[in-house]
Amino acid sequence: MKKTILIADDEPDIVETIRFLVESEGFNCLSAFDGEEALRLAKQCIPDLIILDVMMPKINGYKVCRLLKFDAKYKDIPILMVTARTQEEDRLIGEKTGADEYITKPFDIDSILEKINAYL
Amino acid sequence: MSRILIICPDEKINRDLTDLLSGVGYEIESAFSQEDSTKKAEEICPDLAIIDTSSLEINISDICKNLKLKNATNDTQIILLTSNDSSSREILVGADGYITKPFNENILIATVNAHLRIKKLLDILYTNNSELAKSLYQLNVLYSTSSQLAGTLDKTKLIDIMNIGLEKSLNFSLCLALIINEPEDASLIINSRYPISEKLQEALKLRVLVGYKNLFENNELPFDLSINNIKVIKNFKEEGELTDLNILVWDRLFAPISTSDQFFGTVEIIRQDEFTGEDSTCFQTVVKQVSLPLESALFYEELKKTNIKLEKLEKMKSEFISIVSHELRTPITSIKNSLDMMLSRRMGEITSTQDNFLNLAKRNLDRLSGIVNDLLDLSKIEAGKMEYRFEEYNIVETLNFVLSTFEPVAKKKNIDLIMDTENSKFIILADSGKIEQVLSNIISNAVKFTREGGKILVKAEKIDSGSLNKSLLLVALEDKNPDNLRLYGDYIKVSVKDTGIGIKKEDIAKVFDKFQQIESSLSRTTGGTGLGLPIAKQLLEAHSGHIWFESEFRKGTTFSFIIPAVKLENKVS
Repeated sequence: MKKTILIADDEPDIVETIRFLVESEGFNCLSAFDGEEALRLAKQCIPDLIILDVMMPKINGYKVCRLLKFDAKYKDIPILMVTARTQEEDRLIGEKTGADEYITKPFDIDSILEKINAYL
Repeated sequence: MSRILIICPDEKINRDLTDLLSGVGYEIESAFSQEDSTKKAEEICPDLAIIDTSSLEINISDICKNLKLKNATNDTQIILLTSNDSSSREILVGADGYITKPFNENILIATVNAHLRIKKLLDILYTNNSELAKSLYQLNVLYSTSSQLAGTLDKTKLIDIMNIGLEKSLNFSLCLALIINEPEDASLIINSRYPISEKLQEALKLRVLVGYKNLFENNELPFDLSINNIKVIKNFKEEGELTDLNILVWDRLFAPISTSDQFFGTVEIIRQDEFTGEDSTCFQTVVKQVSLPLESALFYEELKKTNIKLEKLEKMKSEFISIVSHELRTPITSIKNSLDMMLSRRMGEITSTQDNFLNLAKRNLDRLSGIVNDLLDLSKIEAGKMEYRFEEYNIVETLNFVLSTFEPVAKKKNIDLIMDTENSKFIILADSGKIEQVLSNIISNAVKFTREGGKILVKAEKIDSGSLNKSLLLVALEDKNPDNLRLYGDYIKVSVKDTGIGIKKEDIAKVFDKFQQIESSLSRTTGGTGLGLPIAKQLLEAHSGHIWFESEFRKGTTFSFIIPAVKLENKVS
């Protein structure tokens, strides 16, 4: 059975390119364009992995991550945080929110695929 | 004309003496009783008093005391007219001389003359003495004023000190200080004993302005500053109000507050008593003394304002760069991913020309994202927000790694990239990511500026701080004082020597400046933001390291940096 990946980013272009990439690798894909939608879809569909942007309207990525990771039902879903900030700052906040991986924009497709494959 | 008081109840003797002495040309007053003598002495302040001791109606001792104990008459010469020469008792109570009766007229006149001369000399002595005391007092005030002036950079305090100094030394009724703050804007500080009526204040304001205008018309100052707005600050010592317009015709001293090339304002002091020449000198000195510190104070004030403005601007700039960089990363990501996916043939086959141009687009995008990263780094360093994760590690590993990443580019340009270390292990305490960035920036420059077929030599060695050429380091620090360069113990020195285009002498100072690429024509062929070296310099300085270079135009450049070595001996024990 095909694995499902949830992509949450308020930039439609980013969602579209990642979507094309993961679908071409044979994954199912769900898209969310704000934090609220991401949280709802995650709880409703229980994806196998979430690619989560930090800066999003309504609920930011850190909070979405924390809400999922602190809930026993969803805490096992791997989360890749994507951010335009640099790694040092992310590491600090990320450690508290419990994300599994951090990817800094701009990332290249090989590195993101490598990280996805490590979890799926 | 000298005044003589004759105290003698005997009318005949009194008249004789009066006739005799007025005949010689003295002004004579006669007293016939003790009360009379006290009254007359107060009235005329005689230079000399002649007292006839033969009468029992008067007490010689009381009269002498009365004269000598009063300020106005304490120098009055007292001559006793005695019937015998046993007058030592009276002399003891305060008389200055005596003549026995019956007296010889010539001796009497000679004695009177002698005592009057003494009186005249005493008068001169006291006048000189009091002038001396006044000068001494003014000098003391000047001294304490000047030492106080040296102790502050506050404009208001300086004017206060000047005021107090002038008041103490010259006892003015009114001091008007006109201080130019900015062009067209001035303050008039009025220090007065009594409050001043509005009418008088307006008159004084007008006079100060006229005095100020005159300075320019008499060519005492090189330029004219128009004053449109005067703020009046008033300090009064006592209650009451000074409404007397006569104050306008009182004596005044006026001077500009200025240095040889700066003008700050004017000072005017007013009092009812006339000022002497010495007063004027004292006034000029105090005003001159305040000019120099005032110049410093105004300069300091200006500097503080500019500094605050600059800090604000610098912060805004850093924030702006940080926001823009973040915002640029998202679109760059979309473009990059799209290019990558086309290049990876996920979207179907592409022709070799399409491949070429997609690669060209990708290369330039990488350059763009490199610039964004550099800008972000620099704004972080400058805002003091860069984080460092220090650990002890072997810098040779970083050298090998960075060299391997440049291997393909060097090979393409047919450049020999050679590593030379005397030892394969040099431990430093550093953030390895930052040291990698420093090395990448230096080596990428070397590769960029070295022509095909050239050579780049990377060398690592351990050196003692004493063997360093400090003058080269100071050029990079933009500092002329070798004392500011503190170096201790052992360092690991890394140098990157290329056979590139070199740096011209006139460009040496610009190498570590932000956004400087020496020749603009060069930047078109070699690319880069010119941020690599400034970033490297700041990152190294955060590691207590230093960077510098030696270069010969058209021959090549050697960039070197040092970073403190970790003592291995300590580790073992």
